[in-house]
Amino acid sequence: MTYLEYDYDKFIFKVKENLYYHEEGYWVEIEKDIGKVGITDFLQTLNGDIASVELFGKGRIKQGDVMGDIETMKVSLELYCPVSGEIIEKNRELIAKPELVNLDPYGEGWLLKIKLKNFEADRSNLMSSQEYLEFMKKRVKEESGRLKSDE
Amino acid sequence: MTVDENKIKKVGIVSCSGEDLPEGTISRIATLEVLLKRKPLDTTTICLPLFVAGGEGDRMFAKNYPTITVDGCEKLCAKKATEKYSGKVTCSINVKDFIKDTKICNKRNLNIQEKEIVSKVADEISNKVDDILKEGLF
Amino acid sequence: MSKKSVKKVIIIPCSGIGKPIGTVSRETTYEIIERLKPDNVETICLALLTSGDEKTIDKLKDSYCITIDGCAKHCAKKNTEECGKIPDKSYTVLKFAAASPDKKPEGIIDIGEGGRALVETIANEIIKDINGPIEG
Repeated sequence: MTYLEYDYDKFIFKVKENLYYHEEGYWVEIEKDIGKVGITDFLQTLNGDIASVELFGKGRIKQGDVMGDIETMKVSLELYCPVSGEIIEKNRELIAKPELVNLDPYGEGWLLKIKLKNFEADRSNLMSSQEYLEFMKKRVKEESGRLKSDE
Repeated sequence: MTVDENKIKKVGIVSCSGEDLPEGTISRIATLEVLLKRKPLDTTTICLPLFVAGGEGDRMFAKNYPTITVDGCEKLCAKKATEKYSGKVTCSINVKDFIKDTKICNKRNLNIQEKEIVSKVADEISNKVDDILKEGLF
Repeated sequence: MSKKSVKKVIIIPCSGIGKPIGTVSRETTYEIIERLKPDNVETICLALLTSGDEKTIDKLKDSYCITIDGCAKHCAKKNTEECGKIPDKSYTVLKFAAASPDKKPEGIIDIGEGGRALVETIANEIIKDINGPIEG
């Protein structure tokens, strides 16, 4: 399990290798025909401490559809699914421990598991970890004001 | 020290927030005044409890960037923690130096005299930030 | 009838300076101390504790210790445990905020009406919990 890192100000943003990324701040880990999805370290840092997570438990979903929402101390944010398919599992740990998304966004903070459909088409809208790292660096500079504090 | 043109030019401020002393509240509020109102683009807050608990980013920042510590008493917790986990402190400020004969007693809801001391400490922090930026210590 | 000895209650907030919930943890501590008998409840400087100040560590030894953290990083709880004292009770402001979404703190310096309401809620909860140890 290795990470690419980008240091900016007092933040160390991590991008886990061997995942696919959507520019809106979501990742997908593929294992056979199942995609596990979550939000990136950058997205969780940007939006602050998560007070609650609500996820859709089942059903078909398309890339770009809303898959749930999070309530943080800064914002209420809708979450968008980076892949298409059928939701087969949601991370129930997040009901009692939404902070897992902040503390371990690529691990215990995963959001949904999806039985993939049409991944080849979805892949054209996703990036590699290296590509996302470069994209994220620009986003970090754009959002430097929001990252500064929770005020 | 060479200047890295790509390095952001920011100064870290580590404040004690001594919960048990009114001076701790003054230290905290003066620091926040500078961080959020007077020098928001030039400074970064480093949270002392997180710093001590192992905050990787905070420790790294204090190692690589000039850091001002603001303490409430002679125990100098912020200064000592920064020296321990990140190295030399660029500048150390002690709130006690600004109190002199003024009687302070409130840990919250500061009175006028206490707010004046906050302002003086904030002035000093801001001046030190300016000095560091002018000298280009990055 | 034997007299039970009353333990001193010590509350340690995280006071995290980067977030409004850090201010809420600090304000909650002061609210509790002001409302309850100050002879029985006090706070200590977390930084002083972690710097190994012997007087501060000694104070904790026979106390009923409560930590109040702002967020899930649990700096107050972790740092207290590192000093050899397992808190008797630990609270996280974020958990209370999640249960009361209408009570969001607004800023770090001034937490606003929402923040003050959150302080009230958390203080009431903790006071219920510590009346036992205070009364013996």
